[in-house]
Order: sequence, then structure tokens, then C-alpha cells
Amino acid sequence: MSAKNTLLNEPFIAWRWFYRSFKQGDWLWLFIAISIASMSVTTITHLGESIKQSMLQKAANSLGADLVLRSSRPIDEHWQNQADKLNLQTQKSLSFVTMALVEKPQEAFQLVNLTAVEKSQPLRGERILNSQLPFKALTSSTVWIEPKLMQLMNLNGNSQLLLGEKKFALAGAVEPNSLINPMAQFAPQVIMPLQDLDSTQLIGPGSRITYQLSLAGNTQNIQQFVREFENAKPEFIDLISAQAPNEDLQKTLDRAWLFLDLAALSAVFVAGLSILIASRFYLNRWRSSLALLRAFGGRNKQLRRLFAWQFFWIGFSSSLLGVVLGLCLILLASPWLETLFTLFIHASYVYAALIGLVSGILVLWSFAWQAYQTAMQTSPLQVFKQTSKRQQMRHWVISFALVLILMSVIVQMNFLGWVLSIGALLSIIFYLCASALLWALQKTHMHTRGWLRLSIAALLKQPELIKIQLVSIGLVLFVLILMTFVRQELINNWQSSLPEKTPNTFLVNVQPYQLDTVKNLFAAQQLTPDFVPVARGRLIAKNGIQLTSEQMPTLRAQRLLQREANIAVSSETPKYNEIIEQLPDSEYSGLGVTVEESIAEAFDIKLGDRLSFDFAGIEYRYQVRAIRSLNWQSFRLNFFFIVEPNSEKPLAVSYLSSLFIDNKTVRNELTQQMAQQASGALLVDVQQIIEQIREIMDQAASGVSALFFFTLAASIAVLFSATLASQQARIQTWLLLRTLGASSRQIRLIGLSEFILLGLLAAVLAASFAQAISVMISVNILDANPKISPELWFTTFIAGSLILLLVGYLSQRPYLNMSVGKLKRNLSSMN
Amino acid sequence: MTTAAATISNPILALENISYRVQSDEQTLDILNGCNLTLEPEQTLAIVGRSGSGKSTLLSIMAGLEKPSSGNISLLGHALNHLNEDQCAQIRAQQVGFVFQNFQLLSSMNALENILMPLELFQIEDARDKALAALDKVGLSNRAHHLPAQLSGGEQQRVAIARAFVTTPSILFADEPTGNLDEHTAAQIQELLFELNQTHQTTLVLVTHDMNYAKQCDQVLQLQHGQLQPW
Repeated sequence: MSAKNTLLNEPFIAWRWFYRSFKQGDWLWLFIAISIASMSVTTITHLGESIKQSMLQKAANSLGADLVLRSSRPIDEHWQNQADKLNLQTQKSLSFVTMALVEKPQEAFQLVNLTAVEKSQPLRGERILNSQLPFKALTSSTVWIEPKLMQLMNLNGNSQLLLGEKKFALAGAVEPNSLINPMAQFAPQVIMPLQDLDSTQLIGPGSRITYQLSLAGNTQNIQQFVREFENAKPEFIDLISAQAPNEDLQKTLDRAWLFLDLAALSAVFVAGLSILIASRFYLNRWRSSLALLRAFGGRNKQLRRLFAWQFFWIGFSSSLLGVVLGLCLILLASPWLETLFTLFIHASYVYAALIGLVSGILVLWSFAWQAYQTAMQTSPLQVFKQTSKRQQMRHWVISFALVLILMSVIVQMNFLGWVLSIGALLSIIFYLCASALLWALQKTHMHTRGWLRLSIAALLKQPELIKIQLVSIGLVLFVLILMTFVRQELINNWQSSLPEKTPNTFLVNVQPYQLDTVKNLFAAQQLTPDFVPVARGRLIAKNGIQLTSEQMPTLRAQRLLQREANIAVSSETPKYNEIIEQLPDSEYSGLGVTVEESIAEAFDIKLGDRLSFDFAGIEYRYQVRAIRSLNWQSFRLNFFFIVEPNSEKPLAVSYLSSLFIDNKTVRNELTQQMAQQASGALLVDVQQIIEQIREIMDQAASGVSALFFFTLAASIAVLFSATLASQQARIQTWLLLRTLGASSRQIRLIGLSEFILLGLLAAVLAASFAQAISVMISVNILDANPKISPELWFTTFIAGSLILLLVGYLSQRPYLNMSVGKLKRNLSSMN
Repeated sequence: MTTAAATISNPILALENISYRVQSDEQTLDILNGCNLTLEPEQTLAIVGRSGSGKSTLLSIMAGLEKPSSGNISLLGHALNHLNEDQCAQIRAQQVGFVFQNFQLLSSMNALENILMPLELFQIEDARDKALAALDKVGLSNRAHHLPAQLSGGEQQRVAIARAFVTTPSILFADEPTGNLDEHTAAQIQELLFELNQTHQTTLVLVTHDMNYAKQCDQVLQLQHGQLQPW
């Protein structure tokens, strides 16, 4: 025999064999499943990364940088040096509230938030210009002002603004950026060059200045900077990141990231199940081929290599197709995505394609490993008689390890281990439940008759296969329910956090003697805001023990001890606060305080504890009466502490209020009137920040929905393939029934009932687990109240049986009406 | 291949006291119980016996697909019971052919591709020409691109025979090659098998129920109670 025994030829031989079989429709379901997995990963990786980058860009633009260091003391040069070392762009600025004066056209003065900047443009994004003034570059002796200052001070293009000792010409009107500088909400912003600051002589020893160092650069260097900052934990410096510009946005973004990761995992998991089932479907063919090749004299290692090469080829070609389809899908969806995001950034196509390709190949090996190993154990004796298929535990372990690698390629989640453990546990529990359901079905089988008996018998014919089908279909339904639930919860949560009439105006620093005047001003506009008295105070001790910031584990707790906060003085708790725990009336003694739950947790505050506060240098003690939970994203007046009024030693209070003012002109009018009639009291307009948050939330909701529908489409394909594994046995049964004289109607009834039964059984599994998981997610991730939902059960049953009925009808339609001869031929082509 | 195993004698196939035992839950079943046989090159041998008498098991042992429980077996001068699975496979690859009752054609490959498969497995040159020639010899050159499901039973068995002879084996094992065919087709297949056997000067071991078919062989042995007895 003239043989060129070279390993180099094997990939080509394997390709030829793969291609020949593939042409005849072999490997098709595997091919489709891998393509779906690869397409999903490519699309979701790109889409997810693009959405992430676009949202971060949006947040970074709002912040004017990727990172901002903020402090009430000058920021140590060390951080500037570190930024230089990492090639980060920097921008120094400082802000403080001061009085601005104007002499012409008429004398006016106004409290302004003065920001002195090193460079006129922010590091990220651009300033939003207002056409009220002709725009010029910011040079020495010029300032940019917030447009509303024009009305407040009656300014025009020739006005000169006196800031301290120096006069400035107006070089333009720019919209304030509330994320860059929160103080901008309290007083109109004025931007000046940093180089002119000394000449104003505004800075004195007692000035309350906010120093900022803004940074921008590539992601890796920014992350490196954050790591160094977190390791050093410098005192008195806050780090604000575009990833978490404020607490509200951080929650929104975190949940959106979580969903993106969930969507990618679900799509791959669903495709993986499809591969698992399809590989079982092809297993008998692989075993027949391998038995024959072994009988012909194929050596074990050679066949392993040839078969592995065939796996490689199918993995590679189908993944490649998936990647191409994924990229096409991205290009098709791009115009739509660009309408959702004001600035849509396309993440790297190469990276997404690479991840898609690797994932496609990995998902094949992860989920088809068992079938591959089982096929490899085929004895050549199989050509004469059926031999047993042994499944070894170590192959399940390898399979699981491969899934682990696959998941870590797809998502960078810190709770990957958690997700996988839950996934493995769920699969085992699903399997045990499926066994129990089959056992119950077996018992029921004895008491049924006619077509139902035959349908159940058909299901029970291959119990192991049915268990796998039940687990797979159940898991797919479960994933769909879970995704539907999480998506709905996310969107509801985001919508409810910023409802239509979210307060967009805050009134602060209204002194008691100004209260009536301010109320009258608002009443003239048909507005009746509720005012809450607040006192500036600081928590200093718990149960007589001094609290120091060094003891506190969280930054939030440290900050609260270092600074004064607004503490509400009221004997009532706002209705939108939820009381979680309350001290019984019998245990009340002295004055009471209610505490927000996260603060209670941070300081380990319990009901009945005695808290000491420092109000203007005087210590006040209160007993903790209740722990409250509140929604920080609500833009209502929220307080960490609400203390009872002390009639004997009344606190010096000012008043705060929040309300929704629809009309911008009214807001501006009121701002002007308050400046004139209630000096020092401020109207803070937060409409802009609400709109920014709303926009980011809307973008997250759109991204989440797009990914959800994509996963839904991938799942339908799995359900189709899930029914294929038992196709041979099904046709055998129908062939027998047809031969025995069963009518087409009877065959249809038996065939389709089998699918409905399968759907119902899978729905039982899916609904129970979805219910359990939804409760867990509600409590642990979404901070929402868990609900038992009868609709979920009902919908799952109906959806499970209807989807399977539809899948059964579509996939079985050609066979249900076939003659005995045709069925026989189809059966022989499956061997 | 390791040639450490000793050559027993000149016959192409020799069985010496071959036994095969199967251990079921509670009992031991003796399928083969001291089978002896000697087959010279180019001879034809038929093994007959009732269903379940162990004919296929004996065939798989003779072809080195299965190890006997005890006894010695020599195929083409190699003591199979001293060889490992890969060494047995190499002997089959080089000098053994098979024809099966249920044809064992791969359903997703057409007639030509089924014949090409063993040639490609062993990377034999001019594989395609050889496969086409083999198809021509069994009279199916016009059916080269048909799938097994598109061929009749007789045609499928012809493809299987072409596949068996394409690697020019020294010995051919045929397990009930006409068992799934009607009388007329079976006769045609018998004729073809013997004709090709003569042309290629192959040794033939045939397992069959059909006595008329068996009688055409040089030697007929009956497998009864696990032992080979002359017919």
C-alpha cells in the first residue's frame, strides 16, 4: 500500500470528510448552533462594549474628564506627577462661591460660583454655548458666564464683571455643567482663567475652595491611576470617575453592565444547550463512522486527531460565519443605534470578531466534549452489534472547566464563579426535578388510555434523552423568563426612579424670616412648595463613644464625620420614606432621630442607640427611633438623619424645599425675584442633571431591550434543535403506528401531544426556578420587594406548551403526513 | 508495527482452542467453547449456524476486533492475542476487508465518497481513480454521486463490496452479506463477491444462513454449542 503517512495531511482529509457530510446536511444543527453562539457573542461583545463606551463617553463628557480629584485643600503635586508619568492629560481648576458686582448698565451684585480653570476647554466633551453673547476664547481679563446671570444682573455684551479686585469683560455665555461642579447648581457659574485668580485677591485664609484635578487618557492608564489612588487612600481627596459620576448614575450603569453580561452569558448558554442536544443527535452517526473506521484499521490516535480536526473545522467555519453575521447585524443596527445615543462610539470590530471566533470554537468543545469522548470510546464491534456508551465523570469535569474558560472569555465579571456555581447547581437540580417528573409520568402512564397513553409512552421511550431535553428546554424557558423579568424590573426601576414630575428645583438656605416672602413669591406662580426645616450638624458620637473617620470602613461614612450635613428637624417622617424598623413606643426616652438604612449600616447604628450631634458647637443627643429606607434617585429631599425638634433648646434652622416647575421662564423669574427679595436664599435648578441622567437611563434601557430580543431569537433556534435529538425514535414509533394502521389524525394527535407534554413539563421546571431566582434578584440585586407572581406561572405554562406545540408542528409537519415508505427511507437516512 | 509476536504457521488464519465467555449478572455464558480452524491463502470458508450461535462474535475475533477469552489466534502470520488494539488495527488496515449484513454505508456520504473513505484514511495515492475503478467493477459507475438512501439494498451492498475490495485486502470477512436482500438480488451479490474474490485472489470468510451460498465455498463449518464442526 502506497501511503504517505504524514500528519500534515490529516487536516485536509478531515476537511474533506467534514465538507462532504456537511453538503448532505450532516452537522447542520451543530453548525447553526455554533454560528448563533458566535454571532451572539460578536454582536453582544461589540454592542455591549459600544454601549458601555458611549455611555461612559456621555458620562465623561458630562464630567468633562475621565476622572476628577476633588478636595477642599490644595491637591498634592504628587497626583499631578503620577498623572504625568501615566501620560494622562490634566486640568487644574478651583471653585468657590463669591460675590460678583456690575456697575453698568446698572449696579447689581450676585452670589456666583467662580471657577478658575487652567485650560478653557474641558478634557472631555465641549462646553455648550449660548447665543445670548458673542462667543470668544477665554483669555486674560475675560470670563464666561452662565446665561441666567445675564437676567439676574441685567448684563449685556459690554458689561464688566467685578470679581474681587479685578474687572473682567464678558467673552461668552456657556451652559453650566452640573456634573463637573455640583456647586454650579447653587449659584450661577462664572468661568475665569486660573492665571488671573491672584489678581482678584479673592482667596483668603478662610475661603471655602474646592480644588479639582481633572484627568483624561486611555482606559488602562486611567485604571492604573485609580489603583494607585485607592492604594494610597489620600485623606480629604474624593475621586469621581466617569464610571460613577454620582451614586444615581453608578447604580444605573452597574445594572446596565450587569444586564449586558447576563445577555451575553444567556445567549452563549442557550446556544451551548443547542450544541449539547445537537451533539447527542449526531452521536449515533459519529459512532457508526468511528466503528467502521476502526474496523477498517484506523488507529485510535489517528481517529482522535481526524475527528478533532473535523470538530475544529466545523467550529472554525461556523464561528467564522457567526462572526460575519454578527458584524453584518451590527452594521445593520448601527443607524438605529446612532439614533438612540447622542454620541455612539463603535467599539473595536477586531476584538469583537476575535472573541466571537474563540467563543464559537470553545462553546463547541465545552458542550460537545461529552459526545466527542463518548464517540471516541466506540468499539469497532459496533459494526456487528450495539455496544454500550460509557460516560465518565472526568469528562463532565473537563466539560465544566471548558465552560468556565468560555465564560471568562465572554464576560469579565467579578461574580463569574458565583454565576457558574449557580448554573451548575441549577442544572443538577433541574436534572433531579426532571427525573422526578418522569417518574411521576411513568406512574400516570398506567392510568391513561388511547393517544395520551401512546404520547406518554413515546416520551418515556428514551428516559435519559428526555431528561436532557427537559433540562435544556426548561433552562431555555427559564433564561427567557429571567431575562424578561430582569429587563422589565430594570426599566420599571429606572422609570420609577425619575418619574414625569420629578422635582427639578430646590430651594435652599431660606431663613425663617424669609419664609413668608418666598412662599408668597411661589404662590404668585400657583406653586405651593413644602418647606423642611434643616440644621447644619455633624454626627460625633454613638452611645457616648466618639466616632472618628479613621475607624470608618467606607468613604461615605468617613465623609459624613468630617463634614457638616443638612439634618432635617421634624417630628414627622416624609411619606416617601419607608420605615424598616421602629422602636416600640414603650422604649422611647428623650428626643428621637430616624436614620437612613445605609448610614445605619455604615455606623452600625441600632434601634435605641444614642447618637450625639454637633450643631454649631453644641452637642445634642437623640435616641434612634426608626431606620428608614429611601430612594436616592428620586430627586426629592432626602436626609440621612431626621431629628425631633427640641423645644427647650431650639436649633438654628433654615428651610429647604424641592418641587417640580414645568416652565423654564417661571424658574428664571423666580430665581431673579428670590435674588432681589430673599437675599442668600437660593433656587437651584437641577433640570439639566435630571435630563442627563434620564438620557443615560434611556440609552441603557434601549441597549438592554435590543440585547433581550436578540437572546430571544437565539433561544427559539435552540428549542428547534432540542426536539431533534429524539427524532429517530419518534419516526420509528410513527412508522410502527402507521404500519399497524393508525390514521394521520391519530399520528398528529400522538405526535403533537408529545410536544405539549414536553413543553408543560419544562414549564413546571422553568416557572418554579424563575420564581425562586426572581425573588433572589429582587432582594439582592435590584433592592426591590420580592413578589410571588401567579401570572408568571400561568404565562410560563401557556408559553411553554404553545411554543413547543409550534416548534413540534413546524419541525414534524413533513413527517406527520408521510407514507410508510417515505418514513422508512427517512429513518434509514438518519442511521 | 511491533513484530515481537511469534509467527505460528503458514495458514492465513488459524484458530486454536478459541473460547469466548460473557459474564452477565448472575451467570457465565460460553459463546465460543474451543473453536479450532486453519485456513490457507485464497481459500474460501463458510461458517453456518443458527441465529445467536455466535457466528458474528467468532468473525469479530478472527478479524481482531475482539479478544477471545482464551486460545490462540493467528491472522496473516500475526498472533492477534499478543497484539494491542492499534497493532491489530494496522493489520486490518493493510490486509483485511469487511462486508456487513446491514451494509454500513455512511448515510451522509455518496457511493464514491463511501469508497474513498478507507483510501483517504490511509492516505493512499490516486484514491479517487481507485474508488471510481472499484465502483465500475461492481457496475455502479453511474451511481457514484448517489446517497445510500437513494440506492436499493442490492446497490448499497455492491458499494460496500467495492469499498471492501478497493484496499486490495488479503482476507475478506463477510457477515451475512445477503441477509437483508431478496433472493434474486442475493444471488447477484453472491456471484459478484465470488467473482471479485477470485480476481483479487482474496481469502474469504463468509458467515451465512444460506446453505446454497455456503456450498460454493471450499470449506463449510457449522458453529454449534460454541464449537466449529465440519458440515
